[in-house]
Amino acid sequence: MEAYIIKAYRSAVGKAKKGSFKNFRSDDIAVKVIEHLMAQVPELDPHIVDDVIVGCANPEGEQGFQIGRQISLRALGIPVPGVTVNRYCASGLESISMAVAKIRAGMGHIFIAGGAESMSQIPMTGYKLAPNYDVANQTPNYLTGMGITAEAVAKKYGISREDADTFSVSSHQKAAKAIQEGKFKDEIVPIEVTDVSVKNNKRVETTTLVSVDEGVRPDTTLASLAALKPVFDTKGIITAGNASQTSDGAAFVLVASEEMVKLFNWQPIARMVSCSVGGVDPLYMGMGPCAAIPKALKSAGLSLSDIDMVELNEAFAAQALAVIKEGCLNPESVNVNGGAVALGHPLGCTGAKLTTQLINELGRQNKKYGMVTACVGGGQGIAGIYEKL
Amino acid sequence: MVSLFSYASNRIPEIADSFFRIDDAIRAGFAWELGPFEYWDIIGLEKGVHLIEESGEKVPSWVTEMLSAGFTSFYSKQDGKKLYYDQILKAYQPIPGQDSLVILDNYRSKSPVHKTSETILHDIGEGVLCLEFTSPHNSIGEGVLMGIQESIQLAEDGGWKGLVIGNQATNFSVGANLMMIGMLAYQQDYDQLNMAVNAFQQTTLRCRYSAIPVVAATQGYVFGGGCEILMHCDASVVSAESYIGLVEAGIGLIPGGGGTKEYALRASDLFFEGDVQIPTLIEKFKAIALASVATSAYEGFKNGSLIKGRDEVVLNKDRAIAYAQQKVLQLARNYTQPILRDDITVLGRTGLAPLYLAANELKLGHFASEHDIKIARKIAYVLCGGDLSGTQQVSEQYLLDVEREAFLSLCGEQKTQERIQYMLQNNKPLRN
Repeated sequence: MEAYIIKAYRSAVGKAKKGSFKNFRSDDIAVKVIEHLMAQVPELDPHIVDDVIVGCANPEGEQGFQIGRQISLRALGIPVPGVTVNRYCASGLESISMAVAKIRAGMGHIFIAGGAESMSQIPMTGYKLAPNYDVANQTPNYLTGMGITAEAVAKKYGISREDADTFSVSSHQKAAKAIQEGKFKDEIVPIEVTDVSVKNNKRVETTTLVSVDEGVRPDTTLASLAALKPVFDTKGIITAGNASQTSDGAAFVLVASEEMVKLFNWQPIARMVSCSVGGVDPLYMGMGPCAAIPKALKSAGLSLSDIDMVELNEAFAAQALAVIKEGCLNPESVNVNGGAVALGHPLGCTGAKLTTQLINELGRQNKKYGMVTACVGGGQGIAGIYEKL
Repeated sequence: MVSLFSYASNRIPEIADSFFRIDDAIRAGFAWELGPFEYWDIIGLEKGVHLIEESGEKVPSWVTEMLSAGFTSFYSKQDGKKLYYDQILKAYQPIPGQDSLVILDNYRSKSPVHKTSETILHDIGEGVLCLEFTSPHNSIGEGVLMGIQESIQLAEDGGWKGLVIGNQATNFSVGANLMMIGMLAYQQDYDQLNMAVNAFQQTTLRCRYSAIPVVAATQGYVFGGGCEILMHCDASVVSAESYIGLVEAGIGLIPGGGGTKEYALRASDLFFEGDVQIPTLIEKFKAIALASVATSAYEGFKNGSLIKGRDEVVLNKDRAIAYAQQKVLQLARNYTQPILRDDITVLGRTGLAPLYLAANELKLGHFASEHDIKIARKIAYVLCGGDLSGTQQVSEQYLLDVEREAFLSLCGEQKTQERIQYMLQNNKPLRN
């Protein structure tokens, strides 16, 4: 039985550690997004949702306690279960593909799937750094930091500092334009954040409404980016300006079976045609999409030229450029509204956030096929193909 | 007793050259509060001799000689030193080894440096003062608080090197004067209560933030307010047999004299870059919420009331004040008045959440009553700096304000008032 995407919403993406969600937990963001989503389908009894699938790249600490269940309990009630899925930066997309696959396999009818991540609250490497001894001793590149993998990709595929910075300036400009044109307005769930802190020895409460992505710097220029120092390799090209921003956010979609679509007389917004993952050398993790895209296209029975639009997660400008350069993607179709360099990359949320953006942009441009693709830590790639309905 | 006097006095010089050695041995070896000759002095030398004679037992010649020479006691005091009667020299001589002891009783004949209704301030030599509590069970009320404030002021103004807060009673202090708190709580007189708690907080704070070093010397019970005073001194010399703890939860309160604030501060000082912090916070929380009492000085380092490198343990409680005096002199050499802290990391909701969960588990497991949980949640609230959205650095005064507010709110609880009343009447805690 076919599965359809009925609704898709996301939070604004906050700047990690200094943005509006720095003290606002990702489970709280997720609950707000799902509550908003459910409010759009009042005909749906929340208790008939089969499962809530939550992608999360660092499901520990504040995101521990099996965050999927914590979210389902609060957003939909005791009878609705929840599960946490981790494929690092692909988690949000993976969770949607799992919902779709379950429906197609006849293992449920209604799912809420997406992802949530607070990079403000959880350290990138988790609270306890505990790699395997043999891996660290014999194949340390299996666990290389993401910045170093981007340097390795840049070097191998001949991406220059200027290429990466130029790409990044463009990302900011496209994102700023998209925000200015109000493109994300309808997909973003405004969230009221009350911050309690101590000022002048007194408890102070301030409330703000968070409804705009915080990472975009419209005044970014090539010159301002050129002034930044490489972070991971003194002789390298990766800077804070041409890498994705650490972020906080959540995004979820409602996935329903054909039967439910008919029952509720819903108008689906899209369907996931295929979704594939592939493995690459962890040192060149950024090339992951090139392993996943051909599989997804083959599974969908499509060719790259059929894909009208792509949301390629800009983990690093250099990595995104290398994927495009290798011919894995058509440059004109990629990230028309900017990418993670400008808009941020809340790890486990990203796949669902990009899905939401893609479906809406396909609608605006009246196009048919779109793809969400991302590289994944540990040397993987993911590609999900959607058809706009 | 008469037989003991006779027996002991006849063992000189058989088992010891001087009688004070027998007293020392009996006290140290058999944990008597006083030795036979010290008891004899209480009865009176002459009366003791008569009693022995009446009972038909033998009085040794050195005692009758002493009596006929006009001596009226085995021991005497002079210039803060204890003297003993030397039966060979036939005169009082200082007991050897006293330089390492400060015995407050020996200073009673001297006029004190200062006095309040509940304290006496002694000059114990070398430019050091010692503040002795004299209230019942050394409980801490207005007179003690005033005594501490005035003694510190006096030491600062008078060019003294520093202050020891210590006494040689069985217990250092059983804590705050419950009668006063209970009355004010019962009368719901929050203005008075607020003033009283604030006075307590400012007094403990004064122990740390003064121009002179303040060192506590303790033994026996160091409970509640006593523990808060100890924790706020620059250092302490703690007799091994000290029972130390913030026991306020047992009477339905939280430590309100800066104790809860101090545990938050100590947790903050233990945090480090990359630390997950919660286990440290839980340890501090448990110490207060479970009213944990260290049953020896060494355990005090475990329950967080003592700090390694700052506080010292002394095995012989009679030496605590003398050691504290030396500690004052050591600190005074290079003493700089500390400044009030405004860098205390509190965890806000991140810390409150696990502590509230822990409290809920205690309730579900029937380890704690509803009221215990209410108190535990108040303790958690203070330790975390309140329900802040995130981790933040705050000042001591902010935490003291939160602590005072929590303390006052519990004073308004009927179950807390019942606990206080029960403790005053029965001298043991009520579980309600």
